[in-house]
Amino acid sequence: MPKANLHILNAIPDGACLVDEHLNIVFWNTLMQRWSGLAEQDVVGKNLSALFPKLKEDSYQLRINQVLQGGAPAVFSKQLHHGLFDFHGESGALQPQRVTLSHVLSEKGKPMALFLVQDMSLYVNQMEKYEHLIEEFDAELKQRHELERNNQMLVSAIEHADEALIVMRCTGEIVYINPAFSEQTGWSAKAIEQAAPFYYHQLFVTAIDQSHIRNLTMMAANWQGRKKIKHRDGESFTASISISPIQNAGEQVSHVVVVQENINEQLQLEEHYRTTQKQEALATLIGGIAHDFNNLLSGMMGHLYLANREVQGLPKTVERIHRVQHVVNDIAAIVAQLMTFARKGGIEQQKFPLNSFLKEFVKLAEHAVPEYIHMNIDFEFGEFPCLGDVDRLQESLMNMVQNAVDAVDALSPQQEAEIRIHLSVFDKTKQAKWLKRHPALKEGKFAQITIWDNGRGIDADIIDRVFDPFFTTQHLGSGLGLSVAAGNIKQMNGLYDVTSDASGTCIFVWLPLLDSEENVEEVATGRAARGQLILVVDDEHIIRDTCAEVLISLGYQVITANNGYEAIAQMEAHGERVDCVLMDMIMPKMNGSVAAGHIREMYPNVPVIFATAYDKALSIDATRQFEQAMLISKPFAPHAIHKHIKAMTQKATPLA
Amino acid sequence: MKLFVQTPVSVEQLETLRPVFKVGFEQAMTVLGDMTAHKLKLLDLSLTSPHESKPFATSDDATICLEFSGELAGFSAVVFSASSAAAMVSSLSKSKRTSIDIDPLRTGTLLEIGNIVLNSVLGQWLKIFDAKASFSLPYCVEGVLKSIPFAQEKSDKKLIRLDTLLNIDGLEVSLLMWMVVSATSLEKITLLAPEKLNA
Repeated sequence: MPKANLHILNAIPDGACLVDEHLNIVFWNTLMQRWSGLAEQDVVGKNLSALFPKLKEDSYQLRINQVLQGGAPAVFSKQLHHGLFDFHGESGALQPQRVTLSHVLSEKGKPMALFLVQDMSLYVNQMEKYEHLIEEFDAELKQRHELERNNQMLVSAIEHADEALIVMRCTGEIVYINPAFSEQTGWSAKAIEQAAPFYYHQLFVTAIDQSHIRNLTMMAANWQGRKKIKHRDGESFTASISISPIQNAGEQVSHVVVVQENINEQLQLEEHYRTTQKQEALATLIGGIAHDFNNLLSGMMGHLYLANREVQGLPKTVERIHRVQHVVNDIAAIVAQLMTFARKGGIEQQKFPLNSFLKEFVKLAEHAVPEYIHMNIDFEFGEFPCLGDVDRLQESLMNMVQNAVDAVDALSPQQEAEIRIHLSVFDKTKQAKWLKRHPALKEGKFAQITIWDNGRGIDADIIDRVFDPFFTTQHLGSGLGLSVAAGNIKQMNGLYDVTSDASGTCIFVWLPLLDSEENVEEVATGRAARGQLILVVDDEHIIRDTCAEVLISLGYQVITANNGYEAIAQMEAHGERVDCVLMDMIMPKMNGSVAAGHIREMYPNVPVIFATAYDKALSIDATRQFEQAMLISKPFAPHAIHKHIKAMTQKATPLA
Repeated sequence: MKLFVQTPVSVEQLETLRPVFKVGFEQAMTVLGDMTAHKLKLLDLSLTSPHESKPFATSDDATICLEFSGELAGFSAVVFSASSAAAMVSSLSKSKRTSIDIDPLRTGTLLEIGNIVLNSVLGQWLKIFDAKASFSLPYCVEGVLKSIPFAQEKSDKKLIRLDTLLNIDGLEVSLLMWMVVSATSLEKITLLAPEKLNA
């Protein structure tokens, strides 16, 4: 390249440097002079790699030599090379460069290399701005996506909400409703649009001034309350309404949002709850009154019995006393009815013959049992008098039969499905297993009902849970059938159990049998007591004293206690001689069952007769934990208590 | 638009050329490795000669082209796919961003990498040829490359395709190279190559 022509390179926008084959500088253009601060005359003839040592590295030397030897141009990019020519800008930062190295020949045909240095500062600045914009755009895009996602969620929530949502103008004109609004009011979005302008307060049963809503919105205040809303079909419902203003960017109220909930069901529940609470309060009051009456009647019965004994020579007086006794019995029956009413669930206790009842029940049950299931019925002869709610007993037994049907339903067609319903008197001499499991069966007479099926049986690990509420092995069962049945049987002072093995499942129900009139008479005229010592425990002195007097008149010896603590003290003093304890259940300081527990620790075999003026069902569980114990209701007749004491003391000390 | 349709290079000639390309690529890896302080290695190199070309590069590719004339005349190009371009730029230049297509700085990096590969390969050719050539400045074409210089139907040029697999610090990257030379140059180099390479 002629030297005179080299000055053209001063006119290009790149730095230019021409070197010979030894890298000695031949030409150094004006841009290179400006960027390096080195004048041309100071650098010409000097070695380029001496001025810029990076060029001495092997990889650069190799590429420079390739070019000098006639190879293709070499490009040095900004990214892979920082400061190949270490020029610094006005700010002091290293100049970003792209360097191109090309082969040229000298005038004498010698190889030379031309470095063209491109300042990339402008590109870099532009790229930085571009990257910054991209980052901002990315962030905005991300934020927009987030907003869209939230918006979609919000829309979905509003569309699927149970509460009606209405957006209206400040005038009350509806502009948006969600599907729940249409469901509540019968007004679809289309119907609202067709009836436009449709004002929200048009739906109020009681008209309000339109300015009311306007005032609310002007104040930008929230409002909550209840309103009767008209359904499109003319019906109405009570709604809980919440009104809130929506502000625009200028913080002015542009619209109003209404959240409306139909609370009819909630109000019905509240009403039901209030009624239930009233009934419970009434039941508690009646139970308390019945308790006081029973205690008073107990005293009256005792005194009448004693008076009757003292006036045996005066027939008219005896007659009058008998009449009063009848009146007292009638009052006791009325109190018993009151207690039945007060009992939870309003169970109706009535005397009924279990045998006849079961015969009728089987006729009914046969409708529920498919024909392919063989029913085997076996009832022992006898009336089996019981006390209880026949409807509930029928419901309970039907549940058990239905369970048996379900169990045999899974049998193969070759197997004959069978359900047996048996009724018998519980035989204490042959049922040691049940006496051990349910000691209460030792006291009094019980009817035994068994419902057996040859179905799939119940696994041993779940058999104890079949009477638990909500426990079920059936896909469609609620798990309440047997639980409710168990509750009903307990209300009748009965017991229940279940056994299951490979041959089938058997549910046992034991119901207490009432004494027949003949038995009562027999006891009434039976032998006098033989001087046994009875501990009478009751906090009501009229009962305690009268009962003591009656028992003494029947030939017993009596000691008394005012409460549980006194009873324990009496047993500590005289326990070895006490033949039976007559214990009130509900007493201040220490109740009957707790006191009996302490007494049994000292004297495990002493018989205990618990008495209660409240509903027996309330105390039955507490007393069933004791063997050699029974529970009776107040008021009790003298002959009845005489019979019970005789029965209990005979068991405790069997005759030789 | 002109497609390259020519008689392919024979298998024997390709077999002879393979070591020439291999030495060129290995030298390029050494230069790149020394400059960037990374470990680069040629894992695989295969040569084919399609008798007609589909587009030399597709829409997502970036191609670094170099034309040469003189005793050795022709065209050569290195094609970076989107993934290999991203991998090479990010690993060799430590650039944070690899996803923006229009990026002159990224193009600059690819231009230099392609330049090093092409210069090293063509340097080997010239060394064997013992001849001079004139070169264009390398340039970058973004996107589809449907035609190339010397693609006339009656040209005596031959098309060679190189598929390579590189390893950059454990990362495997494929690189495609196209080379177009005259039939006579090809015959001469296949004749000289065994002797010159062994020397």
